[in-house]
Amino acid sequence: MTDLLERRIRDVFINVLGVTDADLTTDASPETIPSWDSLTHISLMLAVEGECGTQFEPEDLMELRSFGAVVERVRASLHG
Amino acid sequence: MADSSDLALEYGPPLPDVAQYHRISRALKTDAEGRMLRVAVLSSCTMGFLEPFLRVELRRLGVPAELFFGGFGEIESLVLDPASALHRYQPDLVVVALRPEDMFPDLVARIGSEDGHEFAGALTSVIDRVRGLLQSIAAQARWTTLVANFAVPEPAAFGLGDASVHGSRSALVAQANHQLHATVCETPGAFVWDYAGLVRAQGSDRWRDDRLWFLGRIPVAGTHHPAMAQHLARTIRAAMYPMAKVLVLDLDNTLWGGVLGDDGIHGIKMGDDYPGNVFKALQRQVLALRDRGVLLAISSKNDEALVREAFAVHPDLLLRWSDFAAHQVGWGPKSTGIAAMAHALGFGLDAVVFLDDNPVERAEVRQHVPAVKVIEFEAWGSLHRALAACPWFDQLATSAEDRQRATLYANERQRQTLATTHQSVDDYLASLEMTAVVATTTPVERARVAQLIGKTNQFNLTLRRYPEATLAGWIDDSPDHRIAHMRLADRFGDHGIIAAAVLTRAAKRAVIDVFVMSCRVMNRQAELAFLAFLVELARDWGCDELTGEFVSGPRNQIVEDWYRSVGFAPLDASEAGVARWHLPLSESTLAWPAVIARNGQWS
Repeated sequence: MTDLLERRIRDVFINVLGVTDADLTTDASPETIPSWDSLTHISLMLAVEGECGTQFEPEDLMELRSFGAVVERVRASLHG
Repeated sequence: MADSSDLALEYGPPLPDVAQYHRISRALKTDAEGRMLRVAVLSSCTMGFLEPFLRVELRRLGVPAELFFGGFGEIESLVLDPASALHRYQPDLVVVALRPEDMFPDLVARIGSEDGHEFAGALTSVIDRVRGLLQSIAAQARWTTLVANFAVPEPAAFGLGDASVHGSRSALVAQANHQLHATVCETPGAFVWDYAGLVRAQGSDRWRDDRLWFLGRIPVAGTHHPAMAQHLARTIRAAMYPMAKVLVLDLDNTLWGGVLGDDGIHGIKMGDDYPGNVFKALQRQVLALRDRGVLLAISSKNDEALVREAFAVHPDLLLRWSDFAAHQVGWGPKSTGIAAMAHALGFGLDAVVFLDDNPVERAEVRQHVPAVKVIEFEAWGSLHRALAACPWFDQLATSAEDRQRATLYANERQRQTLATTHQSVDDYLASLEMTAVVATTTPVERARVAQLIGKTNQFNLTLRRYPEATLAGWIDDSPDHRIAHMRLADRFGDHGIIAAAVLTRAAKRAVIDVFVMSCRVMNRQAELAFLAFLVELARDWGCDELTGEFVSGPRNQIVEDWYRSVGFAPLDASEAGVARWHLPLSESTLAWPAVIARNGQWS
């Protein structure tokens, strides 16, 4: 099921990476999405931060490398 | 491209949604066509993050561009080697951003000797490097070059004592920027990009995001990327293209407060106290643009004789009639007048900027002369801010010719007859999506109706004024009086009650005793809608004739012939300055205008 938070993050990924809904499986990662390179990664994370009003830890910035992991980390940060 | 993208591509404040920049940038890349400006960015730190933002912000300024980013620190190798990727790219413009803290992190961060000469030395060697690059560029290519100046590096080694100690960082950086300016300005085609000013304006405290800096050598926090791109895009545009040449100004509630036709010359708000001081500040700002060579022009729906008199006698106006190179004062569409003025002054429409407080006029100009740059702003009082923030007068160098231009034009004013072009007025009016509510007045609307009758001077047929108590008496218990009003809204918002009338009855004749309408909504057929309603009221009353008068006053000449224009026939006048008109209701074909919806229903 797609909840509201996931929908918002999904839209950020679609806008920044130029992918479709179908590309964004939970496992979607730089390995499955060619436009998700290292420079885009930072832009992507900044755009998610802007959309969700959250801030990633430096390690998360580097290590969150799948769509599912990003959604889960944002969810955790918003729910304390 | 998607509609939302098109809207975002109008110039305005940086877009709030960061992801939107990525989407629009990708669309612009695929839609690329025609001549693109080729821009290269060379820097001592990572700048690639700016790419989508810079592409979109340049496009919002009307500059489609291709972008090239050198890797960080990759500068001389690209500039000096004629076979480098940069030379193959053949840029039109190169941005060089060298930061002392990237090149000399220790000298910048540490104290060194008491006079700070190590830090000063670091700055000097950056400037030497800039000089070398500029010379090499000048020798090999014709690239326009922008050189970023220096922001004060953070954190300052002396902390809050920095400004007190000898050889403070801020003082040395100010000196270095002075030298950098001199170096850049001695090279033709090179200009300073005021990076220091950008950091200051955005706030140096939050300029950097340590995570981005330490992880990726990205020197700017993500929240500032759009503003930084806009600042750089404006500088690039100003380096490559001339500034706008003509500023067209509205008068009422733009150049002065209030409505000249209603408030009178001494009633307009203009002076040293609020709210007149707001408009005085705007006039100063306009004069500064004139000093820089911008030609001023007037576009106002007003009576020209009254406007001339106001400019001649009002003691607080800083601008005078003769300060304007062209004037269009009258009642025609502003787009037509602006096109005629641009033609007379010999400039294209894209050299014209338009400032008007009225969103309806702005939309009319946007629609009919889309090349004209229309300044948009949020609310009253932000007019001078909007003018200051508008990019169209950005200029990186001034010439003596610029500064004299306004005088030249004033002396040799072109007197061509302003040609008028005809657009479909109905199309324009239909596009406003006007909707009117007409009704007989109840105690709820009474105060506003009394106010409208009391203060309207231009669209006022009889100039009769009645206190609210008199109206109240008629509303409550006079079978031979009808008070009516009309509200008007359009796609820009609700204008509220903008017209009012008093009808009286004598046998089978209904008489329009008062007919007033706010001049904000003139020339939009609103008066016809309201008159059509009065005809209905008269018929309901059992009358077979409607009569009206025009009583001449100092400011209501614009309605002198109005009754004739709407189909009334003249009657013999009984006294001087009064014209009487009548409309036999059995013959009248007066209809509610098709461009206005009635009570929410389209006719």
